[in-house]
Amino acid sequence: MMPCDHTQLVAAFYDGELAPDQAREMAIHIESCPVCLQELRSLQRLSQSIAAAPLGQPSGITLARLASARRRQERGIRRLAGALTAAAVVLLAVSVWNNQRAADLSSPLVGLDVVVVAAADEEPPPQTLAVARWMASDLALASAGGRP
Amino acid sequence: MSEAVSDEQLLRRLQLGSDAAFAELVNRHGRYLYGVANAILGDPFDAEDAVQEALLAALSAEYRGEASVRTWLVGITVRQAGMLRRKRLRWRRAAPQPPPAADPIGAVDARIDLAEMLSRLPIDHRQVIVLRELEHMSYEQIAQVLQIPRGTVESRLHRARQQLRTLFGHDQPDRPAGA
Repeated sequence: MMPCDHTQLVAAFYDGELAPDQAREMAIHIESCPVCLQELRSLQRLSQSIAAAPLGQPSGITLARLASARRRQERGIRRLAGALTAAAVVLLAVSVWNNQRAADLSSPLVGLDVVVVAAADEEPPPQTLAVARWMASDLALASAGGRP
Repeated sequence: MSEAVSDEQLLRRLQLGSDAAFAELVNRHGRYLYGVANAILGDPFDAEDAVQEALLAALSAEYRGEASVRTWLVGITVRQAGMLRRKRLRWRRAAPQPPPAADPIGAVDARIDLAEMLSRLPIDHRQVIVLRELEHMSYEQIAQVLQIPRGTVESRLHRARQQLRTLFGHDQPDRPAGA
């Protein structure tokens, strides 16, 4: 069979991607062109084979895991949020203690072994210092945990 | 949740945070999405991961109603499958693909599933084949889903079909003698 310049358009015709006028011309052409007709039939057979090929099936366990994916994600987010909150509290406590110690080196640290991660190089504003002292004394009492 | 609830309603409930809607969506489309992901990835565990990522991505993705909910989910799944494969390749430096057989395999055996059928294609070719042949997406829709130019869709589809027809012995257009 002689090659045909239109063969490269057969796939677009088959996929419905040609403009209406072009598609009409192509339909007429294919009726009289064995090369393009063969290409069209080949594409049709391939589509039939793909459509007939079964898809892999998930197990019941897989489906159950998928169905619970959102709940598991939510739980994970809550756990992370809890961990972040705890980390923020620890950092805040360390910062408050650090400020208190910088302001009043004679004030004893009570009850907790804290690794100070940031040095207080600057004197904090008086209001912040007051709040920090209050929180530090509160935390110190809390850390004492009712010990005599 | 009854079938009277449409997929669109289900999706809205899902995006408002309903666990029941999520489970129902999996019940309706989970098997198919898994089959699609498995056809692209060829691995049951990766397929499950891809579907899970796709469903979770659907929680916050915008559904514009241009296609059915299932087709929309397939698009997300196919995209997630591609991302997952690239991630796996970076992590594992996966073994190279086996070379294609020298001779056509012959007529498609009904027992060959789609994952096996597509296993010799590069993943980006599998993606366009699935979106075109299973979901009948237009070239433009495929381009949007995969975020690639339309011309790339056409060339990938052409090469994928050529390769499949060679592998599975579908008739090719006769070539002129000496060409």
